[in-house]
Amino acid sequence: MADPFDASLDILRRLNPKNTATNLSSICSLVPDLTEDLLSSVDQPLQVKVCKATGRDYLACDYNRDGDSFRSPWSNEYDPPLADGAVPSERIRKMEVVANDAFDIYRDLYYEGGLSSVYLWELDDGLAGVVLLKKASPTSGSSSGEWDSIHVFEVEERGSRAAHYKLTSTIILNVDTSKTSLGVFSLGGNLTRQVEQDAAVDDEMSHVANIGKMVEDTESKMRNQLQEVYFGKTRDIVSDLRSIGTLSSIRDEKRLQSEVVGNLESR
Amino acid sequence: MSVSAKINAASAFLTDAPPGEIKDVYEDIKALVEDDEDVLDGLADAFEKYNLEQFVTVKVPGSDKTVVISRYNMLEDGGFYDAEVGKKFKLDHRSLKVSDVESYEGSESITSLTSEIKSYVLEHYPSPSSYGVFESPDGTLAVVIVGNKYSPHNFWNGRWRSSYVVDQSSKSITGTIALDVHYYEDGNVRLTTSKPISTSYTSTAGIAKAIAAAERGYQEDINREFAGLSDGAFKSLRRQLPVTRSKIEWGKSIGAYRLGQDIGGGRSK
Repeated sequence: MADPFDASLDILRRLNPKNTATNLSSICSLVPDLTEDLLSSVDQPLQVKVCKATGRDYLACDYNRDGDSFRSPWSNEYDPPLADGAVPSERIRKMEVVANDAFDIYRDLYYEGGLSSVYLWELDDGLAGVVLLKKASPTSGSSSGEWDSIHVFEVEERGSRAAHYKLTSTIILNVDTSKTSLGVFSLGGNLTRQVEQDAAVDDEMSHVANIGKMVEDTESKMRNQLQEVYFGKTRDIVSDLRSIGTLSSIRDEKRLQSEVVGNLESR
Repeated sequence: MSVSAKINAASAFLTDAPPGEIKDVYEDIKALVEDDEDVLDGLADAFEKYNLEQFVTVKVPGSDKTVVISRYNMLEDGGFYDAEVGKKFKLDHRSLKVSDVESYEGSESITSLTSEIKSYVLEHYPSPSSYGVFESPDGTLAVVIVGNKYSPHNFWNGRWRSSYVVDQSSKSITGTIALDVHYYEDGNVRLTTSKPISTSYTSTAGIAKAIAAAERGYQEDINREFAGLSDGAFKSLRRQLPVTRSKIEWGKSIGAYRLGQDIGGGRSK
């Protein structure tokens, strides 16, 4: 019998990604012991929270959650307040502030809107963190889109001049259209990619630049893959299900083509 | 969690299963409920619902054509029939095993419509596809079409389903076309669509033509929508490159981007 955790991930990979939140909570009710592990392994659309101290919006996920509270990247404070909420060390927090600033610029340049948040935490031989980006397309006409990027990374420091970076990126993309002439049309889900690389480190702030480049490259590649899968591959599969042209004329064309090729070859 | 709550949760998983993946979903459910027989035995209704809604096809001994399972060809005793195949049978909804096969004779009035639908399906639905034309006691006819394509080795599966009720007194056709496509290589992407169809015909010979025209129109609309969403909603989410047309200069001077904006008179949106 399959391991219940593996079965949970498998079933969530199969069932409609639009229902992930509901299905995840059903699985957690069926197998309560898996709750913590599943919440930290299953990516869901990011929630938007307002930082009470600064009034700025920020993104919430499992990585800035402690109990029922979320930590704001702008004020470093938990909401609802926690007396002993986990916060990064002074050194890591300094880097987190720089990273938030840098990815806010990245967000502005690529998304021209939306929201970003970066959270860092310490590891034994380095650090880890998550870069979050969220954007909803402006509601124009009948279609709408929603994009959530979740980039989780680990930095393994190798001496004082180099580091090894591991990045796991998930982008959740949903597009919907509500034309009455088209009925219901819902296209959504997520793609995940993993990248590893070594990079030189001058000082601690080099990590932010190195991660920035990796996220930028990976996100750009994934944007192309999303476009290909959502609007190319999916459409091709629909054409595999039903052919607009008649199958006999397609067969005739193919036969004709191979005859032409055959004639050319026999010359 | 009570057994009935577990059955409800597992039933919702089953009926949400993508085309061609219900067995995989069932295996996952078995692992999640640790093979609890009380829960698994309680899933019979969910299997039946899935089979009826998804137009599952079954092989009946003695026929090359697969039979579509739907509420339109369900007998009072829970069995199914297909007049073209000339058989009626019982079905185990979980295993899809066919039993108690007997001959079945339908009325001749639907023979020509059946053959027209058959040639239409053969011309537009690559196998494995199937169809059925069924006569209701109230005199209406039902046309059911299903096209499946499973490619689990390439991590995708898809299904086209359409069903129509033909009212011969008002010469009207009402129905639904639904698409379900699943792509799951390093991810999980799902397309689900559903479109109500309402059309009419003048003579019985025009029924298959009217259905063909509605389906063609819908597929062309869908193809346009893919292009429209790609150029519209998708493009407005994230740029391929910043306005500067070059990748970002990360590093200590990254703040210069912000400085540049201030000089340029604030953020351009």
